[in-house]
Amino acid sequence: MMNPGALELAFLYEVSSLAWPGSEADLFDEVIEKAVRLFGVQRAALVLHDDTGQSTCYTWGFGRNKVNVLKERPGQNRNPGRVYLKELGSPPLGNLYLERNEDFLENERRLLDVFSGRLANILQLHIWERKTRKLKERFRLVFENMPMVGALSFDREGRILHYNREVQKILGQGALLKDGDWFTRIRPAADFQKLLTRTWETGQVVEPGEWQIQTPEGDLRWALLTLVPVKQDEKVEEVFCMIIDITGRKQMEEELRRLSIFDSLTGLYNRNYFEQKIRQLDEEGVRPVSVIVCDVDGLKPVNDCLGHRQGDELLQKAAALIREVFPGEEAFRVGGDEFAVILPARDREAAQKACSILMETREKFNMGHTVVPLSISAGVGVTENPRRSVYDAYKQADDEMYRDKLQRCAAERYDIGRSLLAALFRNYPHIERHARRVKELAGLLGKAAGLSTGEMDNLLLLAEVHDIGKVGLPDHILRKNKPLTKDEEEEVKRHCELGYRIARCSPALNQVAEPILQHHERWDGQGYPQGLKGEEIHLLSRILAIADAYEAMTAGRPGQKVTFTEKAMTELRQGAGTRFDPHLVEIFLKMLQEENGDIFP
Amino acid sequence: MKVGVGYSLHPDSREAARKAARFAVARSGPPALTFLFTTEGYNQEEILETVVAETGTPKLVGASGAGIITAEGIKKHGVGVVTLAGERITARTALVEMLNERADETGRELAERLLSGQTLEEGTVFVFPDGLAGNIARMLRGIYDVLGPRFTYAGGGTGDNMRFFRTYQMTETGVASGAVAAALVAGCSFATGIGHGWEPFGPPLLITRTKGKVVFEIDEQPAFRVYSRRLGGITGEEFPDCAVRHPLGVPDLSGRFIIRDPFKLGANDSIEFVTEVPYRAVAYLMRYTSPESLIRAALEATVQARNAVKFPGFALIFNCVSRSLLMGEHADRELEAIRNTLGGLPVAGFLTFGEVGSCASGPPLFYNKTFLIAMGGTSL
Repeated sequence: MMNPGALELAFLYEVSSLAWPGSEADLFDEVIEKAVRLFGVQRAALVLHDDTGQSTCYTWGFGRNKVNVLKERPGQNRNPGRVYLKELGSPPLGNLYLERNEDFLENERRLLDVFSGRLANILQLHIWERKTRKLKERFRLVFENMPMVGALSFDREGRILHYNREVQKILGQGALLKDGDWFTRIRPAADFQKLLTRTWETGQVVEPGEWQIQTPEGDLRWALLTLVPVKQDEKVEEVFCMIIDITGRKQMEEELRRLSIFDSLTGLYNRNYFEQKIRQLDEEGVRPVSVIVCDVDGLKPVNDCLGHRQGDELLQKAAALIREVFPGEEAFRVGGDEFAVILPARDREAAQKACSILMETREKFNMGHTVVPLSISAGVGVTENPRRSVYDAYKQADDEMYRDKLQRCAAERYDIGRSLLAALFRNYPHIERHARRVKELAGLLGKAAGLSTGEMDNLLLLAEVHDIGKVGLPDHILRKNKPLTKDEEEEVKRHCELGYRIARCSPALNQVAEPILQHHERWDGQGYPQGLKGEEIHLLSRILAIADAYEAMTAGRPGQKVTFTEKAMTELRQGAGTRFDPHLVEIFLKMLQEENGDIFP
Repeated sequence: MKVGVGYSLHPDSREAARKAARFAVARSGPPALTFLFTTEGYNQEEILETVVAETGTPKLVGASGAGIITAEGIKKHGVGVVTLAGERITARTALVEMLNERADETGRELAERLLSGQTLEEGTVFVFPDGLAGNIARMLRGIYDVLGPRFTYAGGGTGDNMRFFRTYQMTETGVASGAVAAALVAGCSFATGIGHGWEPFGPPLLITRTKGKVVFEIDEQPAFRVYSRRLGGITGEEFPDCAVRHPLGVPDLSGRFIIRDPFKLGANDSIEFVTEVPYRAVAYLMRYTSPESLIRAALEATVQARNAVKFPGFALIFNCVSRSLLMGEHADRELEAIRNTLGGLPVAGFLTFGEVGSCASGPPLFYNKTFLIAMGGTSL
């Protein structure tokens, strides 16, 4: 037998060294084992409270009927000396109930108090461990499954300690397998190395910064990168690196930046950037600064007559001209049809010289580039005084440009119709030749039909410009030497309406707008575009239709065979009353016969 | 109450069973409960069948051991039968498979079966678990959880002839291995006495890491390294012999030692014991100084049990096989001394692989290398 002192010491060791055995049930089994062997306990209960307010009651020795020692208080009917009941911890984590068939001695109660205290410590530790495990598990789940955020941690030697799936996608698995290899993929590499060194030295969090990462495929991607040092005893032991691929965002930002300073139609800088540039030049005090302002003439009629597509093309041509003349300068589209070029450190003389070059180049440009001719008015402004804004130069240039527009338009009697017609004839000489011959034939027929002087003027004008609408047709149709397809024929039919709209916009041609529209109507109502018939069709259009058809049959245009005069006359005769006004055909044929039936050998 | 005890050393299973059963029944008359103790080398099913048939017993509980205990000494091969008859005697039996991982559940199920039917307020529970299987201490805690402190507990782990291969547990329903057989007896008083005679030596040891039967660390070091050092540096080969002579003892509330028997070495210098070793317990290396010290302990236990029963009628002895092996020829001397102390009362029992008993009507504990006697009789 052991002596009492040694026995108490042995028990003291046992009750004070209890440890968590892995589960609550096993803990209760340990409690029972020690309570029985060391204290002769015959009944035991352990109530455990969890952090949700629920309790679990483990009992032993109470027989088949389980009891809840807190609710039923089995000890209250017993000799209190034979019961030991203790709250475990504060706030209580549970209760320990022990019972035997003789009183617990004072030294046994002291040992049981130590036992209860140890039990409370174990439970508290277990709760902390459980919470820590839960937190760790949550962290792990978040860490590993974070969408779009790559995360890794590494030690001082660059060895990767943890990484998630997303970072594998960003850096590539290969970079993660080789210690420190991923460092070399960050650009600029030297800057990143410095940053790493600083992080290890200072232990301070590195706020998110934009870096470039070379992918395993060799592409460079943008990344937002944050470094978070993890300290142990004030010493950095691990650094967490969080990486977000922001390549898409950067591309979008770049696009937005581009859109914010560039005009999407012309590719020149926009008004917004023009204002910024002026502010910048004012702030920097660069002087002198010259500004050239150009305005596209007749954009509205082009938009109205030929549609906005043609108008947009005109603007693009203006921009191309400006870029050609000022390849090294910043050029802006500052309004709908207004452009500006800023010439820093250039005085008025230099600016005017540049402006002259622009106007000269425009002429050459028109020759080679366009159906719709580009006409621009321009003005020059200069700011030499640093206290005055470059905006003043812009105002001067704008004013001068308007004066130029007024003077030049008055001098040149600029007319959109005339201008377009000139361009059409310049680019397609066969149309001009046709118009000239139709004009002669129509003039003869008009005279024979007894038109007044005013009607004759209009008829001759009509004959000259009746095809003006073709300025809006595709070049390949106008130059085609083969018969047109059905679709192309339909496209060509648009020229009547286009011509009508141009003539309506043109003061010089306005009076022949209606006849232009109707010059492909037929006497029997089968023509286009309106399907007019008989005398609903303008007289001048009926005359023009005969002259136009006869010229087409006899002139031999691209895609047409030369038709002998006699055959043409026969066709006219056959078309009388269906295609053509029969009365006018009769006059025309009679006139041809009087002229020996062949005015164009 | 009438008791009949018979045994036979006949090599034939049926013949041995028949002789032992007839002898016992001739003394007691038709029994209410029969105890059957066998050894290896017999057909256990034939023995059971014959004993049940010969005795006509409604209830039987039985166990195999490394030997049977008879009035004429310890027999390595034989069949022992104890029949218990009396109008007031009632008995229930149960045979349940041992669940290795949930031994306490095994105990609860066994207890529930023993309690089924008319409720018994008190009695004695004889428990014979497979001495090679599961955590018997925990299984006993499961039994007690359901039965509580109103019952007396006694019994022993079933064994074989030291091959540690297969042991048998029996009730009238059949023979099993890897199970626990039990009987709840009422209408007959039993008192138990426990003793072993082992003595501690050397400074205390701390069991610092253990799980169930396996002790991984003692004094925060690999268990065998410490055990070996304490015994002068024994080798692994020397361990089995040393383990028989030097078990561990963990103190109970009375200051006595509960013996824990080292069984075999495990990985990383761990030691597996016959039964669980309490976690974070203070333990001592034990030794026996002479056969007399063991005999003295057995006699003290016998006297204690005999004095607790007003009219003792017979004794069941569950004595650890390793005590018998250590004592050699002195084992029969021990039995003779016990018989002398009991004054010719019938004696039966078997050599166990661990012993089941309780101190002062407390919960049952599982002992090793211990002598346990259950004195049966009447209190009136």
